Amino acid sequence: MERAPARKLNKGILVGGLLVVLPLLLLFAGSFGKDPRAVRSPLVGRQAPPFSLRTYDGGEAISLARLRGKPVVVNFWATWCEPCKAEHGVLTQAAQKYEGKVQFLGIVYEDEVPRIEAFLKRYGSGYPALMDVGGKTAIAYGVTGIPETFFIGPDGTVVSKFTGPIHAEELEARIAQILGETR
Amino acid sequence: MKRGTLQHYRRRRILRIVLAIVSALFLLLSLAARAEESCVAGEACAESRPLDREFVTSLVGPPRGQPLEGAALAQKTHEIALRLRCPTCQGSSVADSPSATALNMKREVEDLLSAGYAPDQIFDYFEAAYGQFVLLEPKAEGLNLLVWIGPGILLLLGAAILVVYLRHRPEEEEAEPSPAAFSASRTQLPDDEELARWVRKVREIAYGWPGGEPPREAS
Repeated sequence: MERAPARKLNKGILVGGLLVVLPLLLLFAGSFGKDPRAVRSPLVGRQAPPFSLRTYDGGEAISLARLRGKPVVVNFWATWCEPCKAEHGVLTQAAQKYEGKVQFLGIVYEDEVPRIEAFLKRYGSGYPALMDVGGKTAIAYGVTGIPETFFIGPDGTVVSKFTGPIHAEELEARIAQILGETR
Repeated sequence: MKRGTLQHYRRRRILRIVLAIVSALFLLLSLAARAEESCVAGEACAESRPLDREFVTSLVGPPRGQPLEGAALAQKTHEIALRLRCPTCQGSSVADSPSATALNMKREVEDLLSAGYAPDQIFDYFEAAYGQFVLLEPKAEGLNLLVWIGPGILLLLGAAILVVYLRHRPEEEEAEPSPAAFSASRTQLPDDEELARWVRKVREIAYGWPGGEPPREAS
């Protein structure tokens, strides 16, 4: 039986195909291993959005503007968020360690007062938990998924943002940054 | 039954009805109070704070549009919400998502429109917080240009390849097979015995050749 003659390789088509496919492959290869949610916050390097929020227990409103001159750590969290439980202890310990030097603030994201009360009773409370009724502050900070922690310098500029549960080492390094200490 | 006993039963019945009405009213009032109390942090509720116009203006400039209200406000809010990505959802717009974040964002759009901010200022405001990620239609600039012009380029490239291929197609491919070659292919059998047996069977069914053998041509 006769065999069909072998086709010649069309170099033009091959080069054309490679010109299209290779840049795409390089683009995808460059993104491998990166967290697709870890989008750099546009807030970094800019003035932190102002807020004046009451504590969950109806206490006095805390204003970011009034804290000018002091580094601030703003953590968006909720009781229904498992990773928030994991980092709560780390943040509470750091708040005690840096008391007077750094102001820690927790902004509660989509949660209810009774649950917040129960959570803080169980896991301890080391810094104010503020109510963001209507979610305007979360929108201004571009919160996409909690926990998210913003590190604000004494001049009110957002120095960095950390997405996900923060661990002690990372927290220390970022606090050193807003305190103006180099590590 | 004695008259006194009857009156006693009537009184007790009236008392029960009054008690039921009072309890129902109390229950309704306590539910309403609870709904007022449980204004969820971050969720849209009646106690929402007013827009920080000073902050918004510092980002996008003073309002450049007309303050909207009523049906025009609702329609414009929906149009803008359709073009904003819900940041906590999987690829759905703020208009399509029932999540609390999307509802808050929709309310924010409404507040901005009623304050007179123009749609492009509203997109800029959300972009300032979330980055271009929040825009469902990315801006036609930088690498994003690939998304806008890439499909057109690929289409043109495909058309060019097709034209080149059709023009330079080898002649033997274009030529129709000759009747002799076609006839030979009908009568040839594969080398494999088993396969040849099946080919014969198929020929018998398809062509009606007895035993699958081609009829001998009359000389």
